[in-house]
Amino acid sequence: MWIYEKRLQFPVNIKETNAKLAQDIISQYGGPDGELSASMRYLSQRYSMTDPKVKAALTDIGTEELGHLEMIGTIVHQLTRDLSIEEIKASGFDKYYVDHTIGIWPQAAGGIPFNACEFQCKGDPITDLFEDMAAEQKARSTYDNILRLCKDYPDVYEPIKFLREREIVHFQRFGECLEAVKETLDFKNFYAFNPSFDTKAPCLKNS
Amino acid sequence: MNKMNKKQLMRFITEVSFAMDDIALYLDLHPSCQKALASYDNYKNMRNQAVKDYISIYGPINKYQVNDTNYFSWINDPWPWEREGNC
Repeated sequence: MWIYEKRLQFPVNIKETNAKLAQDIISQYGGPDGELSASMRYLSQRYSMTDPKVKAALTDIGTEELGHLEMIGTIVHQLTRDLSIEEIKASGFDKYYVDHTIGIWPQAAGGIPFNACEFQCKGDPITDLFEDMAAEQKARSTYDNILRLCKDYPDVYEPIKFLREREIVHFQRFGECLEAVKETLDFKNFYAFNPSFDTKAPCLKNS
Repeated sequence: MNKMNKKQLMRFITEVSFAMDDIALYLDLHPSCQKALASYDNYKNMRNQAVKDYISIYGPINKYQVNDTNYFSWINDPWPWEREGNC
């Protein structure tokens, strides 16, 4: 169950439209390392997670990512809400506009639609947590790139900087999640089998 | 009664809520850290009072706070992504 609170996690108040920046930033809405992928990844991985602390972390981080999705949607909306048709044509936003007008739709900066293949739920706690840590770093790199593109636009820069910092905190927490799962396994070989499915390695012939 | 205006009060709620969000992630992995638990509780008290003040003056921020006198402010007050939204 989720409860919607009528506020953003961090304020977004963009005064000037900028269709070019909007086309870059929408990647964090529906792109390969975006917030939608992040939220669906963590919330989906909870069902096969073994450690209760990690179930809690996946729930809370997956929920926070939904809040980040809303922030990105807000940034893109505020960058495009007052565009004239001349600005739409001049900025290259016309390709997006023709299918979505100025609605918010999950796609990557290059126009590729959101796809669940952008994240994985392998049903193996160790595998999934490695994916989560990589995902946080990939999202951080994407925000690094966006920050370079929006450094002259403080209204955009500040919320993006906040989101980048959250990737770093989440990476730290997922690192602790991985340690928590490893504590319950054989320290000589953490990766021998899937701890959510097997108690030893029955996929091998003589076990 | 709270001396902050609407914008300041929402800003305060946003700040203390974020402090709670961040500490909660830490507590998920360090559930017996007394210092973090005390800090969480401290921010929770600040948030509870601020949200209570906000609702009584400006209207609900979640649908469980909606009642027969404030329903229209839930619908008609700006949504967070809009100009003059809660941010």
